[in-house]
Order: sequence, then C-alpha cells, then structure tokens
Amino acid sequence: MAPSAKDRAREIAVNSCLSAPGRCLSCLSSPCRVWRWPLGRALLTEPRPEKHILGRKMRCGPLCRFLWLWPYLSYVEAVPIRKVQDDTKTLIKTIVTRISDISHTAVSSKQRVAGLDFIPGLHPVLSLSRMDQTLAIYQQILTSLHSRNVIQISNDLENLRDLLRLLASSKSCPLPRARGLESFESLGGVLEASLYSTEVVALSRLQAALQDMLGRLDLSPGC
Amino acid sequence: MTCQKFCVALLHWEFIYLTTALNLAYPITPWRFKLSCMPPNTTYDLPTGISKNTSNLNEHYEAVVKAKLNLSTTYFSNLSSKTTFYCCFWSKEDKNCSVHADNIDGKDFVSTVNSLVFQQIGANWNIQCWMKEDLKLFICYMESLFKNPFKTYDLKVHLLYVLPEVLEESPLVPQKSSFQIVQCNCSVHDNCECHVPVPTAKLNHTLLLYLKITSGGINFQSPLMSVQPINVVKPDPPLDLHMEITDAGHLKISWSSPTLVPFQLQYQVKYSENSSTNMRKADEIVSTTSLLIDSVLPGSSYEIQVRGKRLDGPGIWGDWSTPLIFTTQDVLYFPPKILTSVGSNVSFHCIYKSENEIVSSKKIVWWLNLAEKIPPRQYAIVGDRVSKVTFAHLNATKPRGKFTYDAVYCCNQQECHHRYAELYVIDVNINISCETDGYLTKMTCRWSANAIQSLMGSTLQLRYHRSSLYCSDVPSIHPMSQPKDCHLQRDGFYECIFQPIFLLSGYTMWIKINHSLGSLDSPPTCVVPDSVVKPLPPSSVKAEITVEIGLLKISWEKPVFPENNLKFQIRYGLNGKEVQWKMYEVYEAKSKSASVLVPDLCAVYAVQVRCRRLDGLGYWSNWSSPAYTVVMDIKVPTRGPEFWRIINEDTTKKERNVTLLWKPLMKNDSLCSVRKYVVKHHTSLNGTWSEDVGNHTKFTFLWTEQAHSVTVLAVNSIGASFVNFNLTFSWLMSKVNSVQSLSAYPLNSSCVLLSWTLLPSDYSLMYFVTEWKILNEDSEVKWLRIPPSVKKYYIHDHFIPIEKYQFSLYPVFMEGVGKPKIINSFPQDDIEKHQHDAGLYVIVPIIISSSILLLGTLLISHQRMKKLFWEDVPNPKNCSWAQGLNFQKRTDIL
Repeated sequence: MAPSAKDRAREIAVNSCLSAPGRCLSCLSSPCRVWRWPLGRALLTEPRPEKHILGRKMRCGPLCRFLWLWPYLSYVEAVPIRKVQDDTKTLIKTIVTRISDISHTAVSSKQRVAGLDFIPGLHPVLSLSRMDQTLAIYQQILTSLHSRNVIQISNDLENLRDLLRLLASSKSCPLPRARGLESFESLGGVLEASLYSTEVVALSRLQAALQDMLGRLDLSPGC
Repeated sequence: MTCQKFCVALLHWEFIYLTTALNLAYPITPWRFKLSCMPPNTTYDLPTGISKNTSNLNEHYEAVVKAKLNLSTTYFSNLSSKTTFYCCFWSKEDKNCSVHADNIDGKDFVSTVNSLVFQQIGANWNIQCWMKEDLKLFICYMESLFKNPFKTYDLKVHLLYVLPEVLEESPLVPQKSSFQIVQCNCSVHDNCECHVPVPTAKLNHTLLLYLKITSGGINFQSPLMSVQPINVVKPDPPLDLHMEITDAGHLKISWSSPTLVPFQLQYQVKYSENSSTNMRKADEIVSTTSLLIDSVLPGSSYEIQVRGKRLDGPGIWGDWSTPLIFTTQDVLYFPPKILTSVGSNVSFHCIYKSENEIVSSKKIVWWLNLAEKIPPRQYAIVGDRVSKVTFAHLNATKPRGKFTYDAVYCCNQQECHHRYAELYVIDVNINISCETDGYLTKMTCRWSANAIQSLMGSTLQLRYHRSSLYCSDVPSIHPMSQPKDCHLQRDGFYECIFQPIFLLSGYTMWIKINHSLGSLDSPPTCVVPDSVVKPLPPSSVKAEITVEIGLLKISWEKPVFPENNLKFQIRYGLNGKEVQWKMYEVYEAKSKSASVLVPDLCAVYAVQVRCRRLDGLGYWSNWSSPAYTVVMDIKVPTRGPEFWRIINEDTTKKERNVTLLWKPLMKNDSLCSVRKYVVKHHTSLNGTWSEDVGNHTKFTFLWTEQAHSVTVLAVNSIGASFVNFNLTFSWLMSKVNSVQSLSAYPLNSSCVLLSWTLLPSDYSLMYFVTEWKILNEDSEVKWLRIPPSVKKYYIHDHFIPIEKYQFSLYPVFMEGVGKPKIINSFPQDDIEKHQHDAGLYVIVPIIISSSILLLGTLLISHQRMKKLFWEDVPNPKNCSWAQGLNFQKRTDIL
C-alpha cells in the first residue's frame, strides 16, 4: 500500500528530527512541561518563569522556541506510530533470530557464569528509558567485541534504540540518549581475557532481554 | 704632517662613538645588509670644523671620500696578511656602521661610523641570511661588491656559528671555542653560500654567527651576528601559477602555496596588462592563493609574477616566481566551457574584438554549431561590451562524431570568430537500485553509467549519507556525505556493497560526476534496506498428488528472514523440456502448504515456490529448487477395460472357445497404474467366479452354457474398478437379428463411414461393436465399441485401398450379443476401379459381338454375291468342250 501524502509529510518531519536529535529532543533532558495541543499533539515547552514580566513589548522567544520545536511537534505524528511499533517488533524478532543463528549462543541455563556482572541480567525492563539504557549497554559490549558475528547485531541495536526513542517521543517521554557503562573502559582486561564467554553470555542475555521487551511492547510500556 | 694625522684622529674621535656594550651582536635583518671592512689605521684628510651633526657631515664627507677613492686600491695592495681589519654591518635602512673589534674575545667595543667611508674605501659584501621553508637549513648568501678594491682570487669564506641549547632572550656571547665552523661554497663570481643546519626544536633559539673571509692573503672577520631562525624564514616561490578567465569574465590568477611552509603566507602579485588600447601595471598583496583582475580585455597580454612571505610575524619575501604570460583571444567567452545537467539553465557571456575595436554588445548575435541561429529573445546585453545568451531547460547533448558538445558562437553581425564556447549537457538521471540480501546483512546497490559515457575523462563516485531512521520524502544531497567504492561489472553496471547495514536507516545516495569542467550530481535517491529485501527462497519444498483427494499439494518452509509477513507464489507444470508454468499465489502469511487442482493426476509435475513481503515491499525471492511429484496410484481405476471376444466354434462339440480381448487402460483411467486384470464370470449354473489374469490383455475361456456373462475389472494398488463393462454370451441371443442393413463408405485411406439401419427389437441395446478385417487374410481383427444411439460411425484406421475389407456390426444387448450384420466392402478407389472395369466388361463383349456379327454379315454377303454373279456361268471345267483346255493360257496366239 502506497503511503499517503500525509504519511510522507510525516516522514519528512521524522527525518528532520532524527537527523538532528539534539535539536528535537534537547528539551527532553531538561524539565519540560507537557501541553496538550488541541488536536491531541503533545507540545513540549520549558517551564514558564514564576514571575510575569510586565510590558507590551512582543517577545520573540516563545515564537522562536515554537518554530524551533516545530519539527519535533510534527515528528510526533510524522511516521504512523503503528508502523514504528511494527518495525520495532519486527526488528526485535530479527535480532532474536540472528542470535539464534549464531551456533554457539546456546548457553546451558544450569551453569552460571561468574565475573560478567557488567552484562545486564534478566531483570524485567518495564519502561522505555530502561529499555534504551539496557540496549545501550549491550550495544557497548557488542561493539567492543569486534566480532564479525555481532557487528550487524550492534547496528540493529542502534536502529532499535532509535525506534524506542521514536516511541517515547510519541508518548511525550523525555528520553535522553542513554550512554553505556561509564566504567566500561576499565573492563578491557576482562573482555580481552574472556572474549568467548563475554560474547556468549552477552548474546544469550540480550536474546532473553529482547524477548522480554517484545512482550512488554504490547502492554504499552511507560516512559 | 703630524698635525694632519692628529686632525684626522680627532675627526675619528668625533665620529666614533665608543661604547662598552659587551656581548652586543648585529641583529640580522630580513632584508639585505652589507659588510664592509677596512684597516684600522686608515685616515683621511678631512676639513676641520666639521659639525658632529651626522646628517650634515655625511654630505660633506661623501665628497671627501670620493676624492680619496683612487688611493684605496694601492693602499690595499700594500697591506700585509697580518693586518687586522675593522668590519661593520650596515644597510640601506641604517647607514651607520657599527664597528666591532675583538668582539669574539669578550672585550668588544663598538663604534658607529658612517657606512659611506667603508663603501668607498673598504671591502664590501652584500649579505642576506634566511631560513629555508623546510625549516631545517639556515643559509647565508654573500656576494662581493663590484667595487671591491682588493683582489678576490683565492676567496675562502667560513661561517662560525653557535646555537645555544637554552632559549634565552639576550644570550651571552659564548667562548670562541664553542663556535662551530662551516665552509661556504663560493663560485667564480665571488658569490658564497653558507649552510647551517638548524634543528626544528631550536628554531626559536638565537643563532650567533660571524664570517671569516680570506681573500688575496687578507683576513676579514665580520662582527658577530644574531638571529632567531624562525624570524627569517624565506618561502619558496609559489607553484602552479596559472591564469584563466572566470565564468564572470574576470582574469583569475591562482597559484599553489609552497608545500613545506608551516604557516600561512601572504603573497605579492605583480602584473602588467598590455593591449592595443591600454597598458597598466599593478602590484597587490593578498593573503589568498588567487587574485581576480576585472575588466579583462580580449586580445591583451598579461604578465604575472608572485612571491610569498609569512603572513603573521617576521619573515623574508621569497623569490619571485617565473613570469607567466597569458594572452587573451580576440573573442572572450566566459565561461568558455559549461558542463551541466539536463533540464538546467545556463548562460554564456562574450566580448568580441574585431579589427582592434571592441564590438558593441548590441551588434552581437549568437549561433549554435554554426548551423542554427539562436533566437534574439535569449540574448541579454550586459554593459556596452558584454553580450549574454541563456539556454533554458537544456536537453542532453547529442554527440556529433567525436564532438560531444554543442559549439556556441558569438558573432559580429554576419561574421563569426572561429573560436567558440563549449556546452556539455549530460543526462545525470542515474537510477540506483538496491537490494538487501536474504540474511539482512548486506545491501547491494547497482547503477549504470551508460547515460554519461559520452563525457570523456569524467570519474564517477557514489556518495551517500545515512540518516538514523527512514527516508525523507524528498531526498536531498547532504553536505556530510561519504564515498562508497563501487566496482564495474561485466554487464556494465557498477556494484556497491554496504555491509553491515542499518536495516531501518535511510541511505540517501547519488552519483557524483567529476570532470575537469566541474562536477555534477545525479538526483539523490533514498533507500531503507529493510524495504528492498530479496528474501531467500522457501526451503524444503515438496510436491505430491494427494491420495484419494487427487490434488497437487505443495508444501514449503518459509525463510528465516525477514520476520515480516510473507506471501508466496507457486508455479507448477508438467515436467518436460519446456515446462508450461501455471501460477498460484498464497497470501496467507502463516501458510506452509497449498493444494491446486491439476488435470492429469498421473503425470510428473515440477513445482517451485518463491516469496515476498506481504506488504509488497522488496523483491520476490528467487524460485526455490524444483520439487517433483511421484506418479503413484491416486484412486481405484475409473473403469474397467473395454473388451470384445473372438469365438472359435467347434462344430463337433457344442462348445466354443471364447477369447476376450481388451486394450490396456490408460493412466487417466487407471489412476495411475494397473496392477492386474480380473475376469469375473457368471453363469446360471456355476454362479459367479473370478479369474486373475495379471497384466495380460487376452483371456480364453470355454463357453459351454446357454448364457455366460463376463466382466473385466482393472485393479491397482488402491482397489478394483467400480465401473466395468459386461458381455453376455447367449446361444439364444446370437440368433437375434436387429441390424437391417449395413453400408461402408470409404472416405479416404484412413477413414470409413459405417452406416446402418435397425430392425425393431424388444431387447435393450447396450451398444454396438464393429469389427473389421481384411478379407481372405488371416489378419488381425480390429474392433470398436459404438454407442447405441448412433446410426453411423466413422472408423479411423489405416485402410489399404486395394484390399477388400469385411465389416461386421454386432448389436450387444443386456441379454447377450445379437446376430451381426456382415458386409464386404472396398475402399472408394477400389469401387471406382471396379466401376471402370464394369464398363470395360460391357463394351468389350459388345465390340466383340459386333465384330462377329459384321464378319458373319460379310461372309453371308459374300456368298450371296457369289451366287448372284456366278450362278449362270458354268464352270468350263465342268463342260465337256472345255475338257483339256487351259484357260489360263493366252488365246491371241490362236
């Protein structure tokens, strides 16, 4: 089915936003007030000053801010959210299948691997921000493995995190770009010494985490 | 005399300003300076009462030294090698000469003397020191002045230097022993060059140096010099100096910066314009590597030179570049060549000079390819001299032979100059198509450069920009782009591979065409790898004809990727050299099998399956490997075989041997094979019994009873046929005559028409059986079952025209086989032949009869005539008087 003109217009806005995420989402990292637009759009503005400034002089600040935020406002409805949801689920399934296709990722559940506590465990990830945070860590770990098997998965995680941010934006969630582990560089020795263990455990846990996320996406996770 | 010397000494005392400035070295200037030396006891007769005012003194002093000039040569020649010379430095900017004595020993004293004294009577050298632009070599160059009064043979120059380890603002003069010495290279022209290597780390240190010159047995020693090498860097002359007329009609002078210079340079450009109407010279300093000169004139000559110097901070002007001469043509096009893409708008400007006069822009007309005058509405006048022509919505240039451009001519009314501007219009609509592999890890993009092959010397490059998610509706060329390596394939397409990929990112791609005339970009296209997936074909494809149901069932496994819903396409056809495919589509994403109705259940079908995303994005996968059905029994045979009998009657006994004959069942009826045939008997006496015949098609049994019914069943692996033919042999019925007449009409050698009429009968007719065979031959009897309702039937067989055939028609009743009607007949040609023979048989007897009759008539007539004419004439032989006479003898003799 060919996309409608409205959909295409939305996509333009999405790209303008995605290509400059700082511009679109910078407000999300700071305290913002959510205003409901009459048509149901979410408008993000910074908190108003407590004291009202008297005077009749026109202030261009709000107007500029409005224009500045316009791509973001358009972006909320730019891509049909249904498509974003579908793509998110499909991409999760794709990554899960990719991991399954890597033959050595089947880990015995009976055996616990010690010393790899920096790899996120199987804790339920309830919110979009936690999902993004978890995926950021996994992406950081996979990128550091420099394994041909996982480069593609790392790229997929990059896309998946972008999709999650898009979903979060549709819910007016402040979703700053999550960084990985700050102490990650100190783990270089562990990675070097136990590359295989790290890859196997990371992929195994990532697969489980993704399957968990897949189920939670149907339940409309919170911010 | 003593008084005179005293006066001179006083005068010197007036000029010499003695200082006790220890460790004071002459600071090397960025410009040339001079070294002058003379013996310490040199005196001049100078007028007394000269003021200490230096400026007034100099003028007067010059006159004095000129008068003494001629003496100096003689004077130098008389000096011994032990003579110590006082040397000083001075320059045009500072003509006071600082005389240093014993400066290396640490007991320096400095006195300032007017340089003119040295210039006229001393030994003089021009000196320039600089740092090469590679910042590794310090060079001092000295040349002897022409007027040096001493002989300069055997010139030897040494440079002594010291570069302190520590960076100091005003370094102390080191000990003499700490100086390093380098010998300078001197040429026959008394030019010397001294090289001092300077480590990069010490460029900011103060280099102390002095010169020792030996010439003609005389030693000269310069005062101490000091310099920070970084402050006297001298760049090499600029490179690649060239000139061109810009698109806007300016003369653009451009050059390249010397490659080794570590800092930014300023440039001095001097140029001169020489034309028939104008001559001008100019000198400009710029900080860029180009300079625009406006109002460029046709038919003019421009000479250009450029040199460089450090932009910020002290430095030395480098040498001038080699002069470059550029001559403009009599007609100037700007731009002279345009490379553009289809659909764009471009303009050419022109200044035309004819017979040393610039043609008025109003008189200029434009032509294309010397064949087509460009309409004046496309002209525009830009000032008095410049005419402009504009082309809008350009079409691609059609190459004419080796010329791949359109020639645009600027003409003066009816006269066109032979020079022209070149217009290259290239179709840059290059289609880039991409395909993501079935593993979703690689995207291959392909594009063809056929459209721009006409542009020789161009290079093509695919550039792309990746956005984080999806594509914009209107892709645009992004300033931040990356090149992608593409490789030319045998089919003429370029292929570029992205691996790994970002599945949902938007890759905006375009082709950049680089040419010496400029660069063009093809329209950008944006691709999301996820939307151009070509899945792997379905696997585990199987095909079978389902037992009992009788449908072609195809089953498959969907590929692992993509995870999106898929639709499937099945093609199937009878296996053979050229399969006639039929298509069937399955839109159920979860489906793993499908069944289709096929006409022939007992044939081998080839089946292939492919898939594609259900939402229509991407491509169809390749067809899977073909799967083939196996021919096997699907159902019980649809019917038993048609059969007939041959009866051999034993006249002595009241029993007959009946041989049943049937044709093997075809696959369509047997579904799909016959394992065996079974003959089922029924008689009133013996009841029913069956006999297994196997795969034979003939079976003989003994018919002994009044009536004997048989049925032949076909049996396959599923079971026996339900629908079968029956035949009852009955003595009684074999005498029932129901066929009144039978005729056979041969139509041709392969078809005979049988026609018959029936008599009314009380029996229920099931069908007819016709037999035919060649008469009088022990040939095979052929037979055919004919429906009961027809009255004529076409028998197709290979009939031999000259043979007689016997046709029999048997009515077959429920009760038994009736009495046949048998005829002997011929094919049509035989009948006709016989018809012709019948005529012959009639005519020949008639002719023979007529001949006999005629002969008889003639005989009778002969007898009658004989009797008529010869009855009254007696035979002389019978007469007595004629006895003995020979009537055949002549009588005239008598």
